[in-house]
Order: sequence, then C-alpha cells, then structure tokens
Amino acid sequence: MAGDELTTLVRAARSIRPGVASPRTLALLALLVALALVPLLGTYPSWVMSQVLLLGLFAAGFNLLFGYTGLLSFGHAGLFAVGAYTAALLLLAYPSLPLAVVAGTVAAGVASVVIGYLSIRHTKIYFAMLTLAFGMMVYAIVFKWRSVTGGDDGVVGVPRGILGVPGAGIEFGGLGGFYYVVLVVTVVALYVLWRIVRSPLGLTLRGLRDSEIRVAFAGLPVRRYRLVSFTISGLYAGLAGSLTAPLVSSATPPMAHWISSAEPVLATLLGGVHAFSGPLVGAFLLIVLKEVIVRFTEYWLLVLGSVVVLLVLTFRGGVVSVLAPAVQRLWSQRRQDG
Amino acid sequence: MAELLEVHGLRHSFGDFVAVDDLDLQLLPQRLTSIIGPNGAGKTTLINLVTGLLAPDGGRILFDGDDITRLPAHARVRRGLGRSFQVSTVFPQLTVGENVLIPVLARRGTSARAFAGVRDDAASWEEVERRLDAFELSSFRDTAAGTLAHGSERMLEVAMALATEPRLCLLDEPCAGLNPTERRRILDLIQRLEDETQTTFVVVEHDMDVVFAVSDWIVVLDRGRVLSEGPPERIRSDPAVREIYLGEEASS
Repeated sequence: MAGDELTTLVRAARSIRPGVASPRTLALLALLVALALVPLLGTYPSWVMSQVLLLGLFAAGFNLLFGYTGLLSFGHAGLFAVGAYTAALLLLAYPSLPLAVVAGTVAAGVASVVIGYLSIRHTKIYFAMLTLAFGMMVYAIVFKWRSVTGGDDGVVGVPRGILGVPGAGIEFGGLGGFYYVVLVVTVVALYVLWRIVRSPLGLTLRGLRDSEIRVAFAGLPVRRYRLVSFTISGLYAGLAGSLTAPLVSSATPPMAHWISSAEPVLATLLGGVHAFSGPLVGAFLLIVLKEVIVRFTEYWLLVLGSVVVLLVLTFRGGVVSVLAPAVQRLWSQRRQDG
Repeated sequence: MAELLEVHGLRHSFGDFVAVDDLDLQLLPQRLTSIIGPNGAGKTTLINLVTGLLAPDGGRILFDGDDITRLPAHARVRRGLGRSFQVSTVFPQLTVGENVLIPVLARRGTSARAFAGVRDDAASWEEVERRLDAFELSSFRDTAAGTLAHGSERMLEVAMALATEPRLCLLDEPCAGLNPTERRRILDLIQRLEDETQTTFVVVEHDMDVVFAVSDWIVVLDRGRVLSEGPPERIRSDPAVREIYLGEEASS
C-alpha cells in the first residue's frame, strides 16, 4: 500500500513540474504564434499561408484514409469540389461564411457516404480506380451543368461573406481577417483529427491497414469502418474546399479534376505517410515551392516535378520521418551537454 | 450434452475440385478436438466455411443451436466463434500490446470511440497485460509485431484469437513452422486454457504425435468427408485411417 501511495505521489509531482513544458509543446506554441503573426508581414504571405493551411487540412484528412487506413483515393478532389461549389453558390445567395462552410462540409460528407459506400467494396488499385472514376463524375457534373455551376467558367465572384449572418457579424476588410478564420478552423479541425488518430477508432483503422482479416476476426465490420474513414476524410476535403472557394473567390472545374486529387497524395508522400504532421509539412513544401518556382520560369510544373522527385528520393518515407529522429537526437544531446 | 457446433451436408467446391463434400460434423463443448487428414482433405476449407471466410455451396452450420450459415465472419466472432490462421495475421506495424488491444476493445464494444484516448483506457490495458503474460509476451509489449521471431508471432496469433473470449476457438495449424520446444509450449498452453476457461478448442494439425498427445477427440477428413472420428486410441488403431494418413506418412 505504501508503495502505491508513493507511485501516486511521484506521478502527481511529475505532472505539475512548474514552468517546464515539453519541447514538443513549446515548439507547437511557437509555431502557433508565428502563424498568428503572418498577416503582419502583408497580404502576400497571408495568401500563401492560407493556401498552405487549406492544403494541409485537406491532406491531413486525406491521410486518415491513406496512411492510417491504407486506402489510396484518387477522387478526393471531387469531394473537395463538392464543398467548394456548395459554399460558393451559398455565399452568392446569402453571404454568411459559417453557414457556407457548414453546408459545404455537410454536402461533401453526404457525397462521401454515397461514393464511399460504392468504393469500399474493393481495396488497393481497384479502390483507387473506383474513387478516380467517381471523382471524375463530379468533374463531369460541374463541367456540364452550366445553369447551376457555370460550366467551364465555374462560379465566379464569390464573396468571402460575413462571419455571422448579414446584419449581425464581422465583415472582412482585407485578407488578414479571412486568414484568421482559416487558421482557427484549421487548428481546431486538426486537433479533432489528432484526437481521432489516437482514439480506439484510430487504432482500429490502423489495424485495417495492417491486417484487414484480423480486424474482421476481432469481431468488427470491416466495410463499415472503411466507410467511416472515407467519410471523415471526405468531410475534411469538403471543409478545405468550402474555405478555398471564398479564398480564391471562385469554384472552378479543375478543383474536381483528378489532377487535383494528386495534390493531397503528393503533399502526404512528400511530408511522410506515417506521421501526423507529414501531410502538413508536405503541404507547406509543395505550396511554397510552387510560389517560388513560378516567379522564375513558366515551366514551373516541370521544375516542381523534378524537385518533388528529388525530395521523395532523398527523404525516403517523407521529410518528417527522416528529420524528426534527427531533431530528437539533437535535442537529447543538447540536454546531456547542458 | 448439447452440441456447440453442428454442420449438416456442407459442400464447397473450387471450380471442379470438391473441397468439402456433403460433410456432417458435431462438436461438443469442452472436448478438445483435432482435425487431421492428408493435404487437400478439406481441413482449412472446412474451418473457413465454419468461420464465415467462405460461403458454402450448400448445407447448414448451427452454432449453439442457431443457424449461422449466412452470417458474416465478424458477426460469428461476436457470437463467440474465434479463430487463428495458419499464416499469421498479426498487425505488423502495431505494437504487440496494440495487437491484443484491438480484439479486447472489439469485445468490450468500444472500438468505434473517436475521441477517447487509447492510452487512457486503463482497464483494457490491464487485460492486455494479463493476456500477454499468459502467452509469455509481456516483454514485447511495445515492440512492433512485425519484428517478432516466428515462435512469438505464432503465440501472438493465438493470443489475439482468444482475446475475443470465444466459446469455440478454431486454431489452424497453431504450430506451423515451430520447433518441438515451441510446439510443446503452445500446446501445453492450449490444454491449460481448455481446462481453465470456457473456451472449447479445435486444432488443425499435421504432426501426429502432437495430435494424439493433446486431443480428447480426433476427426479424420479425407477428400472432403469425415472418414472417421473418435478418441485418440481408437483413431490410432483404425485401419482406414492408417491406410490414408499414416500410410502416406510412412511412405513419404
């Protein structure tokens, strides 16, 4: 009994340690402060970082399906576009940003359940091909349904709306205000995703990736769990899409094209499939590289492609998987020296 | 005693090959049964049909009196029908502890919780510790299962099947690829669990010494049918069994 009390005491003492936060917590806080200061640098950095955050959000949700559940979808641009078009059309009709974002996310969720239900009967390349086909169906719809979606022109002149409802809410002056909306939504959504990854559900999904048959023989309905994973990742795609439309003030068919489906795949592979932060780091690298290269050459896609190939080959398993252990080693070394 | 499992007129073919041919079988609770037979006798197909991995072409399967012929595999597990596989199905990238935790959470009905922390579920982890201890796997709790030695991996495979607390547990060659010492260990464990728990075991095994040492009852399959069944001493002296099974072994 005395031993038990002692361990409890030690544990309690460890948990309070005043003023000592883990290096990870400190780094995270520093990153948040830095992100909050971005608008002070001007419009262009806010513009770039908004894109980084939204691609990061898109890719992190995508990675729940890809890295954690082991299903590679090539149709998530379709779900992203459902969010973008829904938000864009709503904002034009009634300029409430929260309403548009919620509606866009829900619409993408509904589309995910339908497309997911039809796709999760298969895995691997068959799953990838099915999702690609369904994604391209969304593309075909927004391209052809001119009376609603504006055809190849897309939905243009989308306002950023009002934070609240018309008459009672904050209107955005410049990009800065909107950037903060993107930042807050992204941080909250990523926190939720982080909790999901570390929950029993997250464990079950990682089980599906590793050995589907054993999940079934643990007594769990495999397809239902695949569908849950697909739908959550679809909700994140829709959320990112519904904020992208007001950011770029339009929703256009290329958003739904399978080439856009490659973006979260690239960001995830670049940053690392097996780390939560992998898709976020990948999104940052991808967007920043694009922005830099575009300034120097019109053949920016060629250069971007080469750089991505180089990075993927140099950092096997993603930038995070290679750098994180190195940073950790450096940190523990410094602590020993100090 | 009421049968735990009844199989009536079960049939399954792969193309022209009839793997299980109008097979009848009854399993009694608390009677450790071994299923033996030459290669191609239909042992694994039978297990796959009973556990729902394959759908039969005909026939009925009753578990505890209920017809489960059309139930999906996971629903059979829910009713208390567990199994292990000949080729391990562990989660290679998860730790050994997480491997056992997945079936434990599934049994407790908390697998779908999306916002609770896996780390905070002390009761489930305690159970995992206890189960790892029983299988001498405690020291590997935080090791990735994919890096285990073959013997430990087989132990984990059986531990995971038992973590669903099945009433009937079918083990498909639990000793595949093990050396005699490891084989002894796993079989001792199965015998002990048979005595201590409510689980009834069915073992598919090639090694005849092993089969005769541990079984209460032996079912001999040949060409998709039950050739003979009975307690070990009767099977050992059955001329038909000697011809198809022991004869084959002696000539090889």
